[in-house]
Amino acid sequence: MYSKKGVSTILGTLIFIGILFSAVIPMFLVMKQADIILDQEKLEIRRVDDDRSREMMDMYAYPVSGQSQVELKINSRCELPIEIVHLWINNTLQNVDITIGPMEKERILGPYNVPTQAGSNSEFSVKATSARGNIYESQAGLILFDGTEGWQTESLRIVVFVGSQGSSWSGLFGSYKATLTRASPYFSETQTKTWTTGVCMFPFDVTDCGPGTYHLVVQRRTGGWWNPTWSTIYDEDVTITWPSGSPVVEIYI
Amino acid sequence: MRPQGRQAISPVIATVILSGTVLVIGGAIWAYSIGATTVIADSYVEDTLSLVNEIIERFDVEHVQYRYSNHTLRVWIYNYGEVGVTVDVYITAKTTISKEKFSQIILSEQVKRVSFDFSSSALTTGDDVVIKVYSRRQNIAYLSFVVQ
Repeated sequence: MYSKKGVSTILGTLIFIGILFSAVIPMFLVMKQADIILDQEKLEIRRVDDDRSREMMDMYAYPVSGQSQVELKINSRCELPIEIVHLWINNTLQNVDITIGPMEKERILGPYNVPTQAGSNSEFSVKATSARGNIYESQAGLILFDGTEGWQTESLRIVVFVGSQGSSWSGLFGSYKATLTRASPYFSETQTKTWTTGVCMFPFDVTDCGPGTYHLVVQRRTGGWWNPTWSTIYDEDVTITWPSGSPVVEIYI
Repeated sequence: MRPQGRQAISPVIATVILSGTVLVIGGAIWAYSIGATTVIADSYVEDTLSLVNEIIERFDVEHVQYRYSNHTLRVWIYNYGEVGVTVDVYITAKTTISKEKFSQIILSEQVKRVSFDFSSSALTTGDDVVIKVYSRRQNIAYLSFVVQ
């Protein structure tokens, strides 16, 4: 008789456990799985945004001499491959599929046709969009087509980048002097950077002097402050071949 | 003291009745629980996936052009995210003129061009235009543009 008193209690307990295992726990498992997916996506999109912010490249658009075409020179400045998906020449969109390798330099794209007309002036702005959503405008500025004289450019530049020379304390903090000269037409400019760290840049605007061959000398200061001496670390010719090449030449030392 | 000649319900029958009651009520609660938890879990997953889409959608104003020939402002919006977006585009020109276009669907990795007619109030060189793009998931992209 006493053995029959707990049957309903046992049944109730079994039903409770059944509810727990067949309804409540699966619900929590599903919800937990959704939370895991959310966390994974958060991490993934954070990585994507980080890649986007690290993606960097320099793009220079320049005309092909004697042609109604432009070419692009691209220097990647990041360790990620860059996929270019859109190319804008003025307001015309071209879908492209071009991958620039990590730190790839002097990559030439094109030529791409542009609508020039003899006798009428035109301006062309070029920009490229990457798959990560970054938009890069041509650092050479607007490309100008003069109806009578042909291609013009806004600026011609030689940009020198000098990295840290040596690993010692004196190599970390360097003083550099860059001199760019040209005999004809005459051009001479010296720029000095003192006590710089990391990469220092010497931008030379040679628009007035025009394209051609220049001579570049880069020197690094050595010795103590009481007897400074300059040792040459670069001594070579640099040529701007615009409009058959980029209006901006970059030298990395 | 129990009256003579009147027997109580047999303990076996009582147990059967009690057990049956527990089974019926417990079964009903079980069935309701399964249904309720399924609905709750589905709703939670749906909300979470919606939140995921809100987090991962990416778009930007890629290019803007004002065409003097027909006084049309053209805006290119690039969806560089992994999910399609539905956006509303709002234009404010010269701080007083407002225009909008709703429900522009842009698939993943696609560009959508949205045009605005300004023939009734033509823009001129130097006019400021502010472009705001709101997605239905509450993300925003905007761009200031000077008519050239």
